[in-house]
Formats: sequence, C-alpha cells, structure tokens
Amino acid sequence: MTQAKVHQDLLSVRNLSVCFHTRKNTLTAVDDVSFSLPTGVTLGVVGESGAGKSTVAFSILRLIDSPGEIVSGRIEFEGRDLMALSEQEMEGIRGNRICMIFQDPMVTLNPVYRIGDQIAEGLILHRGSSKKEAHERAITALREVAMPSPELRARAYPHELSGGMQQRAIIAAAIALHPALIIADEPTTALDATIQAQILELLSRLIKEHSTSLILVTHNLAVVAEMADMIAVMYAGRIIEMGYKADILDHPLHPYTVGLLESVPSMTKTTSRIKQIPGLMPSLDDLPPGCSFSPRCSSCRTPDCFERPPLREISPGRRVACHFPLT
Amino acid sequence: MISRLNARLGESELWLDFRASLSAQIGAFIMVVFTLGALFAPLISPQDPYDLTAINILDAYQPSWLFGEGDSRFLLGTDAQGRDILSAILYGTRVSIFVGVMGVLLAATIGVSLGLLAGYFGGFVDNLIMRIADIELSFPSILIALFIMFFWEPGIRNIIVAIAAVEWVLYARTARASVLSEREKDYIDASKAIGLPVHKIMFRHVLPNIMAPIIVIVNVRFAWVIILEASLSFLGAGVPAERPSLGRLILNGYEMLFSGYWWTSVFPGIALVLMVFGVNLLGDWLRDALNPRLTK
Amino acid sequence: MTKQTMATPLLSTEGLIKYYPVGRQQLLRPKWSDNRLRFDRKMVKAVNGVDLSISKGETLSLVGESGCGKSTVARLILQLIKPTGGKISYDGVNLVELSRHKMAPFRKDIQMIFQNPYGSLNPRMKVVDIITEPIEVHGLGADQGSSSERIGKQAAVARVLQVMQECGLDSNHGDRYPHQFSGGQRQRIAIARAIVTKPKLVILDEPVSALDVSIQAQILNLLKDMQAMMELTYLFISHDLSVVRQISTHVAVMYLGAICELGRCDDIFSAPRHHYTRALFSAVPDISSRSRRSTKAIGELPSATDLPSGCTFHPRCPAAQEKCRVEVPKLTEISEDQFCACHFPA
Repeated sequence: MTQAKVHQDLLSVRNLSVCFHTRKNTLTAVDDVSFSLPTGVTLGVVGESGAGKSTVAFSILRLIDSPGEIVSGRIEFEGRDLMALSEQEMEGIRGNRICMIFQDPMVTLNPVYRIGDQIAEGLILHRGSSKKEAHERAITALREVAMPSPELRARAYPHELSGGMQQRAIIAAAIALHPALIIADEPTTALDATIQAQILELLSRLIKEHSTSLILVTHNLAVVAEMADMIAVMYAGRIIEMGYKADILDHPLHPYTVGLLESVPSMTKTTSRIKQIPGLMPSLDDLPPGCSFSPRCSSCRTPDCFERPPLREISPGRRVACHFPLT
Repeated sequence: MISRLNARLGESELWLDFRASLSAQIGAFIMVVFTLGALFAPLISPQDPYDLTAINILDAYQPSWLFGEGDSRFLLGTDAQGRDILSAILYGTRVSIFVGVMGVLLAATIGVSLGLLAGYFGGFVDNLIMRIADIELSFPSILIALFIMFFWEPGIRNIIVAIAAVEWVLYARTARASVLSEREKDYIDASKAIGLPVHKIMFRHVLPNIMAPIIVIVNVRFAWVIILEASLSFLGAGVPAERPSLGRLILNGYEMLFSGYWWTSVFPGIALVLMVFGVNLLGDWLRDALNPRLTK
Repeated sequence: MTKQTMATPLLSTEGLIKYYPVGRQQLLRPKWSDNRLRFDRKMVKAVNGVDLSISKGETLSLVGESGCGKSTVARLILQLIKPTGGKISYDGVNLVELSRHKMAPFRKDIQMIFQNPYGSLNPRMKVVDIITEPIEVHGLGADQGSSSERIGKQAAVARVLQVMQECGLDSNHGDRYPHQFSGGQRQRIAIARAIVTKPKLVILDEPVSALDVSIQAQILNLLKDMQAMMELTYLFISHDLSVVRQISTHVAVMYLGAICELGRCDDIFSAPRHHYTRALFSAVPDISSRSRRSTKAIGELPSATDLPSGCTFHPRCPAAQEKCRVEVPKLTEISEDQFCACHFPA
C-alpha cells in the first residue's frame, strides 16, 4: 500500500503511561509509549501476552478503569487532545469517530437485543437518525460486510449467528458510522482459520474503501504481515521497535524482534530445531533495570544496557530502542 | 482465588483484603469476643448459673445493675430462679455456638458427600439425590426441624441431627454445581488418562477444588443455624431447659417480658442478634473476598 | 503408517465413530419411511468414520478447524469417551473391547498432554505430587516391572527430579503450586507428568496453542528432544499449520468428523490435493506473505447435526459437481503414501 501523503497525522500518541494499582504495589503496564498514525494507514501493534498492547488500545479510548490509571500522556486525535476531554465529549467520540472491535464476539454483543438494534443504536445516538433511518442504515452496513440475507440477520439475536457472522455484525456496527479510526484487539483469534481469512479480507477491503485508519493489536505476526502497513513491536510495556512493515519483517534491528521472527514456525520450510529465545518475558512487578530485554538478549554484553535505551529514530519512520541494534 | 489462600498468610491477598475492610474486622472482632467468652465461660462468668448451690431464689428478678438499682453482683440482672443473666448468656452462647458449629459441620459433611456423588456420577444417582433435595426444599426448614424434634425429646444431640437433616440440601446443591463445572476440566481428564481409580479422583482432585464456595456457605449458614436453633428452642422444641441456649433463655424470660422484668429476655436477645450480626459481617466479606475476580 | 507399511502400526483406528444424541426424547423427529413411522434422534456426528494409523517413532498430526472432531478422536483413543462404533488397535489389542480394569495397564503406555496449561493441572496439588501421581499408579515404566511391585519411594523421587530437569524445570520448585508458574512452565510440568512412566505413545491436544510464540518455540523443541531421547510416537492435534509443519512426519486433515486427506508431511504441504486442504492452506496467514490472499472456501461451516449429503465439503467446494452431492467419497490412495477422499482431487 502506498505511503499516504499526509499533512497532519490522524492520531498522535505522546508519552503514554498506564499504571495498575494493586494492594501490594503499583505496576507499570505501559511505559512512555509514543507513535503516530496517518490517515488510511494500518498499524500493527505486536507483542506477546503481557506486553501491554491491549492496554495501549484501551487507553486511546480512555477505557481504563481502576485499578488501572492513565498516568501521563497526550493523545491527539483529529486535532484534539483526548486526554483533555470530558467524559461526555469522549462518549461522542467512542463508537462514532473511533470504533473498537474486541476479540470475543460472543461477549461484545448484548445477547438480549437483536443485531439490527445494536447496530442502529450507534446511529441513533451519534447521528440523531430516526429509528427507521437507523435500521435501514444498519441493513446497508450488514450488506457491506457481506452478511448473507441482511434483512433476516438484522432481526436475529446474537446467539443465532455463528462466530464468524457475529464478528461481521460487529464490524458492520463499527463501520456504519464511517469512523476515522478503528481499533481491533485480536479480532480473529477466536475464529477458525477459514473464517479468519474471510474476516481479514473483509476488514482489509473496508478500510481501503473508506480510507479508515486501523490499529490492529495482535500476537499473531502472520496476520500483521498480511494486514499492516506499519508495525510497532512491544515488550514489557514499551515499544522497542517501530517502522514500515517490510523493514521490520525483512530487516529487524532489535534483538527481540529478531528472536521473535525466528521463533515463528513457517509453513513453507522445516528446520530440525526452531530458534528460541531463552527465558521468559519479565512480569510487571519484576522488571529488570534499564533495558527490559537485556537478561535474555544474546547481543547484550555491556553494562550500557543497564541504562534504559530510548526509542531513537534511526531513519525516517524507523525507530529502535536498543543500544546495540543489529545492522 | 486459590492463590489467595495458598500464599503465605502475612503477604496473602486475602489478609490484605481483610485489613482493608472495616466491616470484616468488626465482624471478626465480635466473633472472637463471643467465642472467647463461650470458651472461657467457666472461668470468667461471675456465677455458674447451673450450680444449684450457687444460686439463691431470694435473688430472683434483680434488675440489671447497669440499668437499674440492682445488685452489683448481677451486671445484667437475674432471672426467676436468681440466676445471673450475664453468666447465663455466657453459658448459653456456648450451647448456641456448639450446636451451630456441629450442626453446620454435620450438614456440610453429609451435603458435600451427596453432592459430590450426584455431580460426579450423574444419571440415576444424581436424579435420586436431587429429587430428595427438591422435596425437602418445598417445606419450610423450620417446620421439618420441628417435625423431627416432635418425635424426639429435646436434647443437644437430637437438635444437631435435626438441623443437619434440614441444612444438608444447600451444601449438596452447591457441591454438585461445582462438581459439574470441575468435572469438565482437563485435569480431571488427565487423572483419568493416568488411570487413577474413581475414588481417588473424587477425593484428591475434585473435592479440594470445590471447597471454596462451601467455605463461604459454611460461614453464612452458621448464622442461620444459630437462629434456627434459637427459634426451635424458643418454641420449646430445641435444647432442654437445664442447658439452655440463647434462644431458650429468651423463651425462659418471655412470659415476664411485659411484667416489667424485661432484662431476662432482652439481654439474651441482644446477645443473639449481636453474634449473628458478627457472623454475617464476616460471611459477607468472605464471600466477596473468595470470589474469583477478573484480572488481566 | 500407510497400508503399505509392512510393520504393524503402533496405533490404528478403523471406522471410528462417535455420535452424540441431541435433545430429549420429545424431540425425536417423526419420519415416514419404509412404510413405518420412524423416529430419528438428532445426532451430532462428532467423529464420522476415521481410519488412521501411526507407526513407531512417527509423528502424525491431525489438523482441522474447530468442530472437525480432532480433539474427540484423541479422547476416544484414550478411552476417556466411549466410541459409538469402530475399532482402536494398540499394539494389536482392540482397546474398545476392554473393560476399565483391563484398560488400566495400557494407560502406562499411552499418555496425553492437554491444550490448556491453566486447566490441565490440579490447582490444589503441588507440582511434585502432580508428576509423581502416574508413578503411584503404574510404577516406573517398562524396565521396572508392573505397578504391583513396591516401588521404592527414593526411586520414585529420583525419577521425578530427573524428569523435571529434563523438561527444563527447576527441581527446587517442586513444592510450588501450578498457579505460581507461567503458561510455558505449566506445559513443561504437563510434559513431565506425561513422560514420567516412560510411555510409548503420547497424544498431544493443541499443546502450544495457548502459548506465546517464543515460548511455543521452546516447548516444540523440548517435545522434539523428548521424542528423540525416549523413542516416543506422537499423535499431534493442532489447528496451527505452521506448527504442524515443523513437528510432523505425517499429516491427516479432518473436516466435519472425517479425514479428507492423509499423507507424508512434506507431500501434503507441497502439493495438497483435497480442495478443503487447499482452502485451509490458503486461508492461514503466513508470515512470508505480504498481502492478503483471497480465500478459496466460501460460506460457513455447516451445523454438525445436519451434515450435507455426499461429500460434506461440497457446498463450499469450488470444484464440486453433481456426484459430490450424492456419493460419499472414500479415502483412496492417489499417489504413493498419499490418500485423499475426493471424487475430483486437484
């Protein structure tokens, strides 16, 4: 996909930090994360579980509740700082300008309301449409997501649909209002392979048609390889590498990214032993000082890694947080 | 939730939760006071109210020293036989707590065993046990207990059995529900795959994992059992007059309630209410604290 | 593993069937056929005639999407569920006919590792006890005699510690409980438990699906090492094709309860012949691709109670013809050691 020429980024996150307060101590789930997203671009946020990627996604919409807390950061969206808005103003943005797609469709949809009603709800709320108009728009949206027999399905309850169709309905709700940004948190992990493929294809087509930006949060590198334009790799609450997809996947610079890509089994080649990264991602209450990857890093040999490496821009659009990035 | 019980006590989340909850601490305090009072009754009560030589009929109906102009020996007054009410309460609490604890334990043992069998084996066994439970639940429990006591003389052992006969149902149902959900879990399949005999699977694998809701119920029902026993005793069908529980004490003073000798009934009543309140406070906190919460 | 192999396979199944009745007696559907009123029970045909075999030292992977019956096949082989029909031969013995008592000694040789690292270990048991339990039932494995021998406590403890170390667990952590370990470590505990009695066949039901990619690599390597060291045979169940590619010698693809393609791993992956296999392979995102390819299978999975007639894949198959609607294709050998259940394979 062409690198879109943008005058101003659609979304700009600066120095976002999120903490969780437990009775024992305070954990930093997201540590000083910054990135920008132009219009019409798909950003893949990858990392393993516990890396903080879902927390970042939720923070953009300010959906972090106690015991979590957004401690600092500026989130600029369409020229406004989302952190400075009141809760009422945020409600005007959620489901309207920024829509979110969650992992489990069974849990996202309200089981006691019909699909059509749930899609129409957003239209009535944010566009002031009449019930009739909203329902017609809902059916149009269902048609756009290639839902078979949309008029029939609009009157169905969530449990009457399969997982794939539920996720289509959710995507219909997400695009019905033509948001500028969609945030998808593991949207296909709960689905079968063939259904996953259909949903990804659908999502890909829709965001292209409407020039919607997409933040795709996932642990599945293969999905990101197919869908994203840019990739941000997270580890223990920090972004440790970021750049255009081809650069990250073909020429990774951070040792963790390298290790991660090598651990992904390939469908096309066999090896006798899959390369593995030794050890485990540290838990949030036990982070090593300085570079959080250093205990597992094979190229880290010097005491410099005791100092936290900042996310530095090496070339336009390419950033790495490492004292000794691979060249 | 399991982690909360397993970690070292001082650091465990359960303890930290307890320290943060004022109502739990009040409840625990009340329980501790009553339990200690009951345990050490012979040592701390001013008088042994069932020692016939220690009481003097001439002391009858002395008003409470705290409220009236009574004798300083009788802080809460005396009853018709000259027994010190405070002492009677201390001894009465003993009976109440004893009956409560034993009743609950017996009910839990029977109920959990039956629930375990019903849940694990399903089919006919499950149907049989659950239908009996359903039948029993269609009657008010106090009526069943009264009915049982009707055929037996009043006595502590009998009333414990009567209480258990009424209470087991809740434990059985709860245990069965937990068993049904644990039974589907992989570690049960793993035990079967290893070839463990059925009884070992039930007692080593299933039983420890269903105890959490049972513990909560034990605590909550303890209060109810105390009240049940008190009600039965108040109706004359519970413990005998020679070893009264708090409920019996309330009955003993009941007729004279409106004749002006209110303290013989009211103070045991207050003690009962206070104790049950403490149990409930603690039980409420425990139920929420042991509830598996969703954390990321 | 194929029908041409001379040696007896270690494990084989013939016509394995598992049907679950759905609903209660009142929901029997009346049907007039053969001049009689018949009542048909609605059935979920979870496993609908599976023939497979595994030879010693091989790793056969069962792949398919959810609902295809692969996990059910695993549980049927272990006799955790009773089959509705069919035969399961282990070392020549038909396991289906065995009583629970007679089945018991076989459980030493056939072990299972489950998918969910959080659910497959008893949360209230110490890790060392979890791993010792199979020894308690079976003794110490093939070279130590039967379980009726009194196995010395010391020998058992020594074996458990040895196995923990082999699986990458710190032997000092035996006193801990499962929740104190990470997902990957719990799978190591599950692996230790499975191999402590020196089994011959290990069934693995999605053992790495719940794990992160870097941990997944560690566990897969461990499994490969164990297999080499102990001469194990694996039946590997997974929906993740790239994992399957790395670990299998042979692959069987399942769809709606039956095997549609079967063969050597390299053959299946380089030249899949069944249209479902091709659709599946094209659907799975691969890290080397850089854009979304279009899928070859359209539509939804049919309900398991109402299987399509003839070839169950025909409603979604791009190459379906009239014959596919009518006749059920049998698993036939289309090239050396490659089997396909299709009337018109690619």
